[in-house]
Amino acid sequence: MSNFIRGFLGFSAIYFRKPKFFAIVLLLFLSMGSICYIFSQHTVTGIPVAVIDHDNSSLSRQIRLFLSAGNDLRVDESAQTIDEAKTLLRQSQIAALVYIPEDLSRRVKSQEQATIYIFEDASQYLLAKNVNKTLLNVLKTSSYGVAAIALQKRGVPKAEIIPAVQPISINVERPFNALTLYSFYLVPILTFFGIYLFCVLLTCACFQVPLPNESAKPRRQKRLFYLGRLFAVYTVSVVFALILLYLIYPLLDIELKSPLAVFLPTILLFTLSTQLFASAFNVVLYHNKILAMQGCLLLTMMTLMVSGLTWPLESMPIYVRIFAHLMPATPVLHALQTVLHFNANFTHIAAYNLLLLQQCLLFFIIIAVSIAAYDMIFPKTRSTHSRALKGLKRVHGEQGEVV
Amino acid sequence: MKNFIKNHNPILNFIDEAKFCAKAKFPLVFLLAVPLIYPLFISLTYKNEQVIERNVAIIDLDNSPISRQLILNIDSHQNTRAIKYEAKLDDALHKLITKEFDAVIWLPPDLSQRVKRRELADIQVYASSSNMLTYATSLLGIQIATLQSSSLIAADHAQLLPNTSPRAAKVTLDPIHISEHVLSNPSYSYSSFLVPVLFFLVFQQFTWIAIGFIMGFRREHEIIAQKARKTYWFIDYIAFFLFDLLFIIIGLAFVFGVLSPLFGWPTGNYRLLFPFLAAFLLAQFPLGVCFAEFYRDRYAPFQTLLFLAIPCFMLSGHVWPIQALPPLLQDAAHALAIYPAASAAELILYKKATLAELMPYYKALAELFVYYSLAAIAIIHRYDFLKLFRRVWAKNDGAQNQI
Repeated sequence: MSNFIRGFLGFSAIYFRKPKFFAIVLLLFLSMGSICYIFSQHTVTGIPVAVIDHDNSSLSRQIRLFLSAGNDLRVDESAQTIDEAKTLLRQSQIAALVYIPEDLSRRVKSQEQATIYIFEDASQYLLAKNVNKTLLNVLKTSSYGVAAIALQKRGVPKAEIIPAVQPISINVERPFNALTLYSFYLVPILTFFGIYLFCVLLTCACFQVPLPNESAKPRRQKRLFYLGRLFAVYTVSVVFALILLYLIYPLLDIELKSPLAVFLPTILLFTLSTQLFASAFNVVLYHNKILAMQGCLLLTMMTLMVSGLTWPLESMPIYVRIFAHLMPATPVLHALQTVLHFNANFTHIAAYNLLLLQQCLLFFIIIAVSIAAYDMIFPKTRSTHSRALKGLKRVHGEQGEVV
Repeated sequence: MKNFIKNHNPILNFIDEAKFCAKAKFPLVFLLAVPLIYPLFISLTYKNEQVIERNVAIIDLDNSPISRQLILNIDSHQNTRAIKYEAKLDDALHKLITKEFDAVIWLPPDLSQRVKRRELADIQVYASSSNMLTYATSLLGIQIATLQSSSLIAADHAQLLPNTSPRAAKVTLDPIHISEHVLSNPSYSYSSFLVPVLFFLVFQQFTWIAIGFIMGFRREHEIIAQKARKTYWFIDYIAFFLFDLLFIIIGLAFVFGVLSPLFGWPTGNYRLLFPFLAAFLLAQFPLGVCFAEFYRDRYAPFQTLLFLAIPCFMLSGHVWPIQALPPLLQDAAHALAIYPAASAAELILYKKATLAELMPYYKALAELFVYYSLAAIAIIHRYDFLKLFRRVWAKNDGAQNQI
């Protein structure tokens, strides 16, 4: 049997042979499952706000009614005074305080501008942004209602009242993620990142697990063995990516809007690029596998932040942007968003595929140059295992026979 | 007793750990590099604080003073950058999919005509909500700019009503003024919100991985040197951790003492922050011991613990509110130290907390420390407990047989 096939079969079965690898798979699915479960409510609703109404007029009561009418907010009745509401705000038990002063309706009736005060706690960004949007919508709508009545009293025809208050209206269409759900935005990115991490870790593991009967093998045969292992990891990663797309996402009603044929080449290229990236580290630092893995993981964990999906690429310094473009997760996560939210074709994700191809080429060149340099520096075959053991002996001392 | 002191002497173990790390070198590289490099990279990525100037394509079929004024308003808003687009709507929407634009505005040919006729003029906005952060930014910019234009037109029209001064027109159209006060994070800075708590997560992961890495290395040493598997007691782990703590202290001092002031991240009162961070990491430590007990090599902590990073951050309640989690996960979040830590961090960093306000969080961390420690002791001595259990079982069995 060729060493390639032996390597492939050996590493395909490693999840059943070694508990550690089984635990890795288990943790991957646990992590993806928990992320899906965290976002299973899709969006944030019922955000508590306190309303201190010192006016208690029909207008102020109407405003309170409007505030509690929607799904987004929940009027917290526990605070009766401003001081109590302030305490709740400080303890993050409410996200905002709306204060309606006692002269609201009097000022409105006497054609003077009235003021409503909003105090928002911005230490919780997501809550604050949602509260801010909803409060402004409700209060502006109330204000327009009052303006419409005033204009009607001044003799403006009924048909012209709305254009008189707001001559230009905005009609917003959301072609992707129409319901603006956080789950649709975050779950695909975070879970697919798990596949990326898995692929990097297992590619590093291909080099970490000693080859069977290593010292007897010529260098070429060893490389074939490694290739077999890498192909095993490639296959498993692609299968896991497909499981994620077709079995896990549907649990959250997230479904691919594009055909698989469009996204499959991206998945294949991404997995290849990821493996080449991790292999490049392990080939360059061949005798320092722990350092290779640490470097690889340090960059991998940074990728989620710099992929441009949680924080726009344009807002990053140029050197961070260059780094982001060198990481396989950047194009694939963008492509994933496109195929999930839109019935895309090849042209829509062509730029991402091209970037993945360029990455593959770059990492392949690094690997090829490193191997060529290695062969030039160490022309004779020398056991990697014995080298590694020598390193370990240096660290651990010379006691006992080495197993 | 003598044996116990000989085998589990904390001072000797501390020195042994220092010697081991110095000999093995790589633990030192890891212990020094991670707390310095990772936070620096995070800071560089998020140094722009806010998302600004999102690309908005505008297809102006009206080309009137009103539409040009609207474009000018959109361009002058800090959230948006107006790009006049001459091609067809379909082309612009294609660029929306490929993320060249964040929104597309279509101004109809009869915009000014309708406004002058006192009819409602609709403008069409296509916004990409596949990325919620950029979506919220660009849409808010468009809404505010349109509202400005709309209010000016409405005020002009209202002035034409009988007995209406410019001031009266303004009050009529905007009878309720909203006075907004943003507390805790007044600039609504996304980076200031995210980065400091991200540092908490980095140190949590670092603590776990450091303990796991050191123990994995020691176990590997035992296997290579064919030594009998040594049982490290909880007290031994504490001694080893004390050595790691030196690096954690260096990291914390660098991150919160140098990096945060340099990049303008909130730090709050150092006298409250550092003791709390120490309590947080201390509470994490026994959980790290629970994991470390199962590692047989130095690669394993990286291969397993990194999968926990994202779920832990999401369960902290900082990014995704705790009330939006399913009930089961709300309970799970309370069992993690990052949840009280993130809540307390909000108080320390953004709300100028007092020591009395932090006491409930200290209490929560102390409780977790006790539970985690008990779990760690149970895991460390699992074989002893099992032996004891078997002995008791056999005794009972024997007694029953006699009867």
